[in-house]
Order: sequence, then C-alpha cells, then structure tokens
Amino acid sequence: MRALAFFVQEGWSSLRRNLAASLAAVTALAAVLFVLLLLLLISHNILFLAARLEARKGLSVFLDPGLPPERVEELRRHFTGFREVASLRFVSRAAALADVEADLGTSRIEEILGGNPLPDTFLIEPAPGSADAAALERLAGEIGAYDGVEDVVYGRRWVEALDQGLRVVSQANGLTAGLAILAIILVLGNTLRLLVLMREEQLGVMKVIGATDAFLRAPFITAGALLCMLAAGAALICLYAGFLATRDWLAGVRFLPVHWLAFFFLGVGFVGLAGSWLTVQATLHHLARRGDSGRA
Amino acid sequence: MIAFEHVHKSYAVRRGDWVLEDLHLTVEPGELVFILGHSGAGKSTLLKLITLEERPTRGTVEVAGFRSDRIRRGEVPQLRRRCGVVFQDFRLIRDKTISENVAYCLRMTGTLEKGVVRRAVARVLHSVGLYGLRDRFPHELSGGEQQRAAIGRALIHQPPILLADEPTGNLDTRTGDEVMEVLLRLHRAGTTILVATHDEQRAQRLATRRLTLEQGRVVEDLFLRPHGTEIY
Repeated sequence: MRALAFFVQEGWSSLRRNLAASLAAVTALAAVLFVLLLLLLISHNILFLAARLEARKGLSVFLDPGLPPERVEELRRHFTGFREVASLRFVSRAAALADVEADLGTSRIEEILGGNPLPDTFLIEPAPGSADAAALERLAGEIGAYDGVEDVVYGRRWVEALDQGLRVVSQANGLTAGLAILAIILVLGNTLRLLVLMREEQLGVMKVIGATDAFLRAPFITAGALLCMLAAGAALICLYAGFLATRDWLAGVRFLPVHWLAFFFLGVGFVGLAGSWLTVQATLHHLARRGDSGRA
Repeated sequence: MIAFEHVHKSYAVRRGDWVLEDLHLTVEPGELVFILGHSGAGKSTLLKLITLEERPTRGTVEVAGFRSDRIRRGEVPQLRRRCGVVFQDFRLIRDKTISENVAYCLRMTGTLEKGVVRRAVARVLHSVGLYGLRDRFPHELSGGEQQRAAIGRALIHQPPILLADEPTGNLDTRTGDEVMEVLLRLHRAGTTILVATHDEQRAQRLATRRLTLEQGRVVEDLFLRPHGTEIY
C-alpha cells in the first residue's frame, strides 16, 4: 500500500512538473471519453425504450372456427409446453368481440355483421431470449402447423426493425469503444513518451545506482492511469452538466446508472494502465537500445 | 572483491578495436585505487564494467560475488546497490531537494517507511556535511556541495564499494579537496574506493594503489602504501 502511495505521489509530481503536456493530454482524453460517454447515454436510453417495446412482443394464434373445446385445451397444453413460451392466455371469440365493442363504444357489431367474425385466440408471450425476429418466426411456423390453428400473427416488421436497431446500437458502441481505446493509447503514448524522454538522463542514473525496471516504470504507469482517471472525471462532469442544462427539453431522458459509470471508470482505468505499461515498456526498451547502439 | 579476468572491451562492431585490452587485476576490500590515464584511456569504461553498465566483450568481471558471465538480469540491480557511483557532473535530480535525492535512492530498494528513510538520510547527510542544506535544490548548491550530495546518494545503501568517475573534474582545487576528504573518510571506514581521475598529484598523495591506463592497457599498477595506513 505504501509502495502504491509512493508511486501515485511520484506519478502525480511527474504530471505537475510537466503541467502543459499533462493538461493537453487530459483535455484530449476528456474529449474522446466525452464522446464515448455521450454514446453510452444515448445507448442507455435506447435500450431502456427497447426494453419497454420488448414487453410488447408476442404472437396472436387464431384458431379455426368451431374448434371443439377439447382440442382447444389440447392445443393450450401443447403450446404451454414450448420452451420458447413464457405465458399463454386464451381469449374466446366472445371475449374478443366484447373487447372490440368496448374499444369502439358500440354493442351492435354482431348485429351489423350478422354474427361474430372473430376467432378464438391464444395470446402468447415469448420467453426472454426467444423474442428476436428469427426465434418468433420459427415459433410462429411451428405453431401454425398444428391442426386447428388458422393463422399466427406477430408484428414481424417492427420486431425485425427493433432487433436491427439494437444490433446497430451495439455495433456503434463497440466501434466507438474500440476507437476510444485506440485514441486513449495514442494520446497516452505520446504524453508518456514525452515524460520518459524528459527524464531520460535521470532514468539512466537511477538504473546505474540500482533501480529495478519495475521501479523505473511504475511512476510513469501510475501517471498514465492518473491522466485517464482525471480525463474520465472531467468528461463525466461535462456530460452531467450538459444533461442538467438540457433536461427540460429532453423530457424522459435518463442519466447513466451508477453501475454503468463504475464499469466506465474501471474500463478507462484498465485501458490507462495497459496503455501506459505498453508505452513505457516500449520507450524504455527503445532508450536502452539507443544507448547500446550509441556506444557501438 | 573486484576481479577482472583477461577482460577485453570494444564498442566497435569490428573486433580488435579495444577500449580495454586484456585487463587482469584484483581489487581487495578496503583499497583506495586511483585510476589514471588520458581521455579515452578506458578509465570510465573500467568503472562501467564493474556496475555492468557495460559488459566485457571477452573475459569476465566478478564483483561482490556476482560474475558478469553468470549474473541474471534481475540480479543486476542488486550488484549495483553494492556499488555507490559518483559522477563528474553529479547527476542529481534537479526538481528534488538534496534530502529527496538521497531518500529516492533508498526508496528504490523498497524502504518506504518515513521514519526509517528520514533517519537514514539524516545520517548520510551528516556524514557528508550537508544536513543543514537538506531542503535546498541542487541548483542552490555549489559544485562541491552538489558532489558531496551525490556522494551521500551513493552511500545511502552503505555500499562496500564506491566508484567515482572524475569526482573533482568540475571543481576548483579547494572544493575538490573537500570532496576528496569525504572519500578519504569513507576509505578509513573500510569502503573500497575506485577513483578515475586525471589528477596525478592527488593520486600520489592519497591512493593506496595507482593504476595507469594507456590506450586500454594497464601500463602501471603501483601499490603506494599498504591499505589500512593512515593518509593525511
């Protein structure tokens, strides 16, 4: 713990000694992370809406007119046994007509049409994991093949559109995260390379008087992680300020939940440490080789 | 303590262009060896071979039980901590105070407890006469004081060997004498010291042994007085 505190202190003083370069790096990193956070905020809200739409996914299974109650019961047992079916509700043609009449505000439909045109229906709610377009299509095909089933209807187009939209959001998140990681490594790389080169002579002396490679690397790696954390904090503050400023115009928009923010900070910290380690390792290796070839 | 066995060193790709050629010598504990020679004679290279900053092209160097041909990468820092090093241009860390410079060197070995570090730094700075200037930065000190601070840094691990590369090269005679006085005190306390220098007069006056290099070869290896003899 003392060692960690010592290296954090050394990393911090290293950043303070090179204030201009550190501020430039924090600004650049914060800009990258702000874009990433913004996309996460948009994704979070899209996923929230999508979760509400997902709840409305379902199949309507229309039964043949005049199907005996025993067959209806048999079908109910079959369909309930499907792994993909979370719940099943039977709506009789009489109940369906009553619903329609209630919706239209009239009780004369049967009289106008000369009978009840609506079939008995099963309303099926798919199990989680079986609600994407492909799974629903497969389930509809299987159920539609049963004797006594006249037709199976589901909102195929909007289910497909929703799935497609969610895929795009997920790909955009992945792409942005990838670009953000690349940008973090590039910005960190340049900044840390600068810090290492500015202390090249000191590093040489430290090595001769017995510093281990780990001791030489550690302050720079902690400096890199500190830069990332500062940038992440700055990006978060900017995003939250923007969210508060526009909250009245964007009614219903929700801010990122705490566990998303925790993952964000952990991820940034990890990328910061890994990126710093790679850069410092490469720069020190380069300096050592340059020293060797310089003497040769 | 230090043994060179037929050591050759070349920086050139082409072999035969030796900076040091067939160096074969042993330095016993407690010796105060002055290494004399013109620029390019191989004095600094000899010191760098001891810390393994450079490796022999041929032959082996053995220092405090570590052999250059057998030492593992992870053991090199241990070897270097047995050798305090003092440079001609001091090479103190500019943005740390004198006590921080010395303390940093101690922390590098994992000694992080504040009280222990403070006491060790105070002991070393007292021994080089700089305790009163402990909170000054290097640029606030004279050349002689900076060199004494560098000696303090080299001593913080209490190394049995001290290597000094032209320690008085950047100093006037008086401050040079002050620095040499510190080295003599260490010698009297039993530290093995190797000093690379151009200064023949000081070598004649202070050394227990004088080694002269010319074009990478030892041309004179003179024992001036048995070690343990008081030098005034």
